[in-house]
Order: sequence, then C-alpha cells, then structure tokens
Amino acid sequence: MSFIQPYLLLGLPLFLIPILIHLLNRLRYKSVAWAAVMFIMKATKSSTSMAKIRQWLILFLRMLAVAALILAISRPLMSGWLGWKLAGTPDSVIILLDRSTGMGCRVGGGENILQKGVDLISEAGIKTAPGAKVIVIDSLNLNPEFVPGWNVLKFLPSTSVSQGDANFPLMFKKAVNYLLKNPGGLTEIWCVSDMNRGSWSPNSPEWEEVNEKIKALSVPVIIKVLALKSGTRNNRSVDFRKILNYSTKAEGNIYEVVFNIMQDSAAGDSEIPLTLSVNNINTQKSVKVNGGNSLVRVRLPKPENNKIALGAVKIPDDINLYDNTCYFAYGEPLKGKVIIQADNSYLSALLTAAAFPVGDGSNAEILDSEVKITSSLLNGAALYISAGEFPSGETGEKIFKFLNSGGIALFFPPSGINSVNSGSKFIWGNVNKFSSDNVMRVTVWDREDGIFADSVSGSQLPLGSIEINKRALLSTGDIKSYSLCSDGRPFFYKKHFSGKGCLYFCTTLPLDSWSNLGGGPVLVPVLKRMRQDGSERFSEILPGECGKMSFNSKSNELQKVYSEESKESDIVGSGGAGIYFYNNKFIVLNRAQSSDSSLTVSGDKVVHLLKDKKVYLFSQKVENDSALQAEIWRWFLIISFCFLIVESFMLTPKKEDL
Amino acid sequence: MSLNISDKNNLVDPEVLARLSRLPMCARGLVEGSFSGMHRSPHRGASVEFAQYRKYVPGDDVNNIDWRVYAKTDRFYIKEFEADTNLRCYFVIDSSGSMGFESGGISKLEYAVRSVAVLAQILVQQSDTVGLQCFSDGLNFDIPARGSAKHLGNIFSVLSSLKPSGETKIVKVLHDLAEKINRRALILVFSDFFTEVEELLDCFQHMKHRKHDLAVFHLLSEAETDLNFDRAVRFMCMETNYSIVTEPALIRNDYRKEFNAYMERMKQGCREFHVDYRKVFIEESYDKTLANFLLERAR
Repeated sequence: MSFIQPYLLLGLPLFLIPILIHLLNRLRYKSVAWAAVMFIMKATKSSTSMAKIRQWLILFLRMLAVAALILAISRPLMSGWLGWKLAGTPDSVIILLDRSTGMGCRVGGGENILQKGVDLISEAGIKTAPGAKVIVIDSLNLNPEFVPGWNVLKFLPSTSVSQGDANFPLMFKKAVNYLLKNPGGLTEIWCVSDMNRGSWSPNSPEWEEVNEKIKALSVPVIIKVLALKSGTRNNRSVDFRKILNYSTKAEGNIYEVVFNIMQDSAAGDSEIPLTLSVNNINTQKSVKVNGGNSLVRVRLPKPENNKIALGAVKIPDDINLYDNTCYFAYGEPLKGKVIIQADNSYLSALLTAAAFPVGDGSNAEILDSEVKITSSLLNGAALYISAGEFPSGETGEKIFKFLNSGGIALFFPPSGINSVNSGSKFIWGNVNKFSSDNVMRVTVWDREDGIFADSVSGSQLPLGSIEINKRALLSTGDIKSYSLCSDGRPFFYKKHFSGKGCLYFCTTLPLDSWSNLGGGPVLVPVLKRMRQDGSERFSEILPGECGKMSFNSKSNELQKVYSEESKESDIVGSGGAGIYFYNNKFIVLNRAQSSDSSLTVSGDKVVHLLKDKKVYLFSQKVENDSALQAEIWRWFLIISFCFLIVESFMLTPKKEDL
Repeated sequence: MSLNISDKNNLVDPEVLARLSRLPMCARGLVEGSFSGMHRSPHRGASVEFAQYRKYVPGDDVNNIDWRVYAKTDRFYIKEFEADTNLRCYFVIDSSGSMGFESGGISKLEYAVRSVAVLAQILVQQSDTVGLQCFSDGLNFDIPARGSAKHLGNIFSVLSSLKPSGETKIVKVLHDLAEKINRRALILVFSDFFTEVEELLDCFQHMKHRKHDLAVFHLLSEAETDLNFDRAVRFMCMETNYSIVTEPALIRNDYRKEFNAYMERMKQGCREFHVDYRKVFIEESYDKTLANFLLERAR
C-alpha cells in the first residue's frame, strides 16, 4: 500500500494517545475513605480477568480508530483489483482515453503513460468485467469504437499517443450520446488521464450539460477515473509561435522563427542544443533557456526565389518524444491588394505609406470616395481601408461577403462633411473635439493577441502616446469596443466574421487635426498585421493544430512532405504533427498546446465536476510496477467509525446494571 | 439538623422528640421486666386480661380456684391472667471506623447516636429501662438497663463521647451480648454490618434463641450502593490500613452484584429469624426513620 500524503504517517504514533490518557487517568486517582471495602475486594477479585480484557479491548479499539483516521488522512492507495472490483461487474464499459501529448511521457522501461494506462485498463477489464461490451472514445477521434476484447485494446491505433489535445467534457458528451442511442444494463465509464488541467477544463460550462445528460440517462452509470501520475518532471517541449518578417536597409527582407521552449520551472538556466532544419538542411544551434517558458528567436535563411521554405525546430529527445519538434513554413510574400478609399488625397497617401512602409506600393489600389466598390476589386484584396461611411445596400453586402471570406476592413471617420446614410448598418456619430490641454488618450487595449498585441520581443505598441484631438463614435451598429480611451469610450471597434474576416472601426483619423496616429509607430504595425491577417486567405501555408483540422487521410492528394519523426507516419491525418500538402496548400500541423501545461486537476475536483454521480478515483503512479491502485481513504474512515461504534457499545452499561 | 453530638445536651432535638413521643415504643414479643408496665410479660399476673385455665396443683393459692368451673365439672381449675411489665431495651451501637463514613453531611455513627438518644428518651419517658452497649473491636461501653433520668444522662454522656475507630468485631460482640442479657429484652443494633453475612445471621439466630426481640438498623449510604466514580480511585479502608487503587468503571458491575447479593441474604436471613430489619440510608432524616419504626411497632 502506498500513500498520496505519506508525510502525514509521521502522526501515526498518535494512536498511542488513548493509552497515554488511560495511564494519566490512573496516575490522577483520588483517595476516598471507604467503609464497604469488603465488596471492593470481592469485586476486584472477580472482575479482574474479564473487565480487564474488556478495558484493554476498548483501549485497543480506540487506538485502532485513531490509527485508521491517520491512515485515512494520509490517503492510502490500495494495490490490486479489490478497489476496482468493489463497484460491481458492468454490462458495458465505455473507455474515455486521453491521447494528448502529455500522455506520451515515457516511464520506467520505456512505456509511456498512455500505454501504461491502457495496460492497466485491459488488466482491470479482464479481471473485473471479462464479458462486458467495450467501447473506446479517444480524445482525438471522439467517435465511439467497439473493441472486440480487452486483449486487443493496446493494439488499436486509437489507443496510441496523438499530438492533439483532450477535451473530457466533450468526450463525456459523446459517451452519453452513445448511451442514449444504445441503452444497456449497468454501464461504467472508465477515464484514463494524466489529469492535465487543459484536458479536463474544470471551468468549462459544458460540465453542466454533461451532468444534466447523465442524470437523464435511464441506465445506471458508474464513473471510474484512472488518474495516472508521474513523479518525473524533467520533460522539455518546444512549440511554434510565429514567423517574424521585417526588413532592414542593410539586409533587406529578414525572416525569424519564434518558438517557445518549456521545461520545469525548477530546472534553472541551461544551454540546450537544437536542430534547425530548413528544406531538409540541418543546422545545429545552441540556445539558453530558463526554467519555465523561454521564447527563442532564430534567424532563418532567405527563401530562394520567393519560394515557400519548410522547416522544423527540434530539441534533443527526452522522456516525451511527441513534443520535441515544431514545424513552420515561410517565405511566401504577402498576397492580396490593399484598397484605400478616402475623400482626402493626403489621407490616402498617408495610409498607403503606412501600409507599405518600404515603398512597395504596387499592391495598393487607391480609390476616390465616389468610386463604387465591386466584387472583383474585393476578391483580390486582403485589406480594405476606408475613411467614410460604411456603405449601405448592395455595396455593403459585398463588403460583408468580403469579410466572410476572410478579408479585413478598416473604417475611419470621414474627414470631410459627414453624409449620413440611413440604410447603413454602422453609422458614425458627431465629431467630438478635445482641447489641446485635455486630449484623449488610449488607455485599454489587448496586449496578448490581435492587432495591438505586444511584439514577440515583448515590447508593447505605443498606443499610450496617441493623443486624440477629434473623435467620432459609431452611433449605430452591432459591434463591440476593442480598445478604450481614457473616458471609457472606444478607440477601436472590432467585429469577427465567420470566415476569419474582421471589421474594424477607428474613431479618429491619422491626420494632425484629429490625432497623432499618423506618426507611424502604431499605424504601421497595425496595418501590417491587418494586411497579414487578410492575406492569409490567399496563402498557400495553412497553419493548424493537430486534431483540430479534419481532412480525408485516405485522399491521394494528401502528402506528408515534411516530418522529423518517422514514428508518427502512421498517424497522418489523425493527429501527427508535420507539414502536409493538401489541396495545393501546405498544411503546417503542430501539436496542441493545451496539454503542455504541468497544471493538473485533483481527484476531488473531478468528483466535484461529476456531481451526484458515483465516481471512483484510482490514482496510480506510473513509475510503479504494481497493478491498479485505488484511493481507499473512505474505507479507513468507515473502519475508524466502526471501531468507535463498537467501542461505544462496549462502554454502554447493560440493562441490569442500570 | 445540628451535627454537634459532642455536647450531650444537644443530642436530642426537642422538635423531633415532641413529634415522636406521641408514639409508644412497644415490644413485639414478651419481655421480662422488674416492674409493672405497658408491655406483655411471660409471667401470669394481675391484669384484667384473661390468659388461661390450668389444673390446680397442691401449693397453689386456693383463692385462685375458679369455683364456678368446679361446680360444673367437679374439678379444681386455677384461672390465670396476663401480667404487664416494663420493657428492658438495649441499644447496641457499632462505633468502629467504618461508622465514620459520611454522606449528606452526617456520619453513620452520628446518625446512630441521634436515633438512640431520641429512642432512649422516649423509652424512659414511658417508664421503661434502657441500656447501652458500644463496641468496635470489643465492647467499649456497657451500661445496664435502668429507667431513671440520671441514668439517661449517663447514656447521653457516653453517646456524646463516641468516636468512630477500630475494627468491627460485631459477631463476637453480639454472641457475647446474647449470652450476657439473660432476661428477655428488646435489642436495637445500629451498625453498617459490613462483615460476613452468614456469621452475622448466626448472631441474630443466637439472640432470637435467647428470646430477645431484635431490631437491626442497617446504616448505609447511597454512595456505597452505586459506586459512581468516573475515574480511578484509591479506596482506603476506614478500619484498617488497607487501600486499593482501582478503576470503578471496571469493577462497578461486580461490586453491585456482590453488594446486592449481600443485601438480599441479609434481608432473607432476618425474615427467617424474625428479626426486625431496617435498611436505613443516612441521607434520609433520622426522625422519619424513627417515626416509621415506632409506627410499625405500635400496630
């Protein structure tokens, strides 16, 4: 037997407390002058044997009760199958299998956590539910899969580690849906997990729905959670962040890959070797990393003739082979035009200069405010910038179509007289002026993500230095604030569209009479980010997360063109990271990052999430060779109570004594 | 209730005496006294109550021949009448160490002394004679039965001087007393009787054999019957130096069993030998105990 909190066993000598109290009581006797000593003597003689045995038995029970209580709070784990067996024999078993990357950590003799879990589950199934119908729902495919027998479980592709993440609320929903369609007798849901917090999403509102659905089931359901815990924390992982592309006068166009190396925060500073591979040419580098997360930037070779280059960053193998490589593709020039439409030629020129700071303005389409926007114009555009009213009618619909297809649109207030278009879905309000000693400033913006996010190096965009003298807010429109001024009113509005397109409204103009936004430090990177976002729809590079993209893995068009890890070749299309060529696009699949976190959920939390259900928690240290371990503190608590109840019965005087 | 019994003038509470003196103290059987009194004598005497006829034998006073019977039967018969006599009462008080056991603010010995003082006063008032025997490991005081006020003063002096001490030798003392008191008398014994019950019953049998009217006041405390202590106690014997440390909870059941068996045997033995047995808890007031005793005697 092992314990989750073994240090509490130091309190085990406390079980001697009843004896100490007894001895102290014996020492603290009081003296009484007694007349009927003859009866005391007779009673002492006759009661010595039985009463003493009884007294010592009571003491012994008290000691056992205290010892059981201490053992209970030490949270003992019982080896063997007794704990698993205690819940009875089910008619069917649904296995929810966490195949996330974290489950790929190798333990002991080379077996990873998932393999260990599957072995334990198979063994448990053979011993406790040999005739049960077995269904597997794995975290990657989420489809209920019938398993013909416990012995074949570990040979199934759906029981191997993937590079996707796990979503237990969703897996539970799938399991319940299966049970609704296939009701049976006593059903058990067995969860195999490393208890990663990202996999269990304890704050997800979906748990409410899961509980409601389980409650509505006509069949009784017992949930058993096999919590696999590893004492090893020396894993190191690498994940791709982004490709930086900027130009300098001296070197021209420069590409850098930014990736994050994560290791245990207690690991401290160290220098690790890594392999940068671009178009199958490997370069060895060494980088310094800290404990925890370390963002690393590595300059990439210039792609030849503007061709897309494929690459990977690989760190040395460690206990988890599934998180040591990340993939990227770069070199593709920004595609798509920038349409700039303003009623002011100076403003048009300024916006063009901001959108193309190095002078490559060939992709700019500058239109007069009177020109009607056509579908053909928008079809080739990545970004549409307009200083004026949002168009109504047919033109407005075209812009919505453009946004739904992934385009980006930015609207500024009209610099001239505002002609109110009552049919428009977004209407500018009156222009507010601020005195020079009371200029409006930007105070709130999202530094984590989006067009105002901090740079990769961590420096923030100087939005705080923007001084706004004139501002026009939207008077009508279903749109949310994206950043706020010091008076709490919007600086930018933003609306997402289904095809990754975005509609922005800026409440001031980059003109000196309105604000100093035209100075450059904010407008240039913002327009560049918008242009990058808008040109993604033309890109031949499609980034994605393992398990989140679905494509027909049997299609002849699917080719894995770049992968460092040959072992994943068998899971192409079902979660293996790498670069694929599919439908004339390079699909760069990197592993899901939600399972990278070392944060875990406790067993109690899981029991709480599945409230009102019969949940049995079985904790297992994967380093242990022993079979399944179950937390049995409740039994010790019950035993402790039983001892106390027996003790109280023994202390209760008999009827004839009363 | 005043607890001071060292002053002989305080032994009798006048209020208690006033209440109890209305009740006569009667002997249940025949007693042999020296003077005429209110108690029945085994001898024939001159009372108005007819006793029996018996055949004339030479030597009988011819004046006692019932001539009417002679006229009818032609035989000589003597007509006899009951004799009334005074009562001789002996109070026997156990003054051993165990009688010092206190409960409710009074010791067993104090309880006995106050009871004896009141009863002695009542008896002397009704022209009976009272004697006092006090013992522990031997007979400490032996005052013969007399009925004068001076004699009562002597008894009170002895009572006020009693202190609990020594070991009980009640069996020997009672046997001795049974032999020593050669005429029928009322004997009242005040003790806790903590000795072997069979030996004690032998004493009672002996006394009854000597035709004494025997009443025993078994002085007990509720604490002694219950043994209600919640932690370890060192019980120190009040008569010897013996002491024992024990857990009352451990022995309580057996103690009660032993105690109840003893009490049951005591009651049964007393019934068997026609001894007037009185279980007295010293937590109760002594005047109530005495009132019950006198009332039952008067019936």
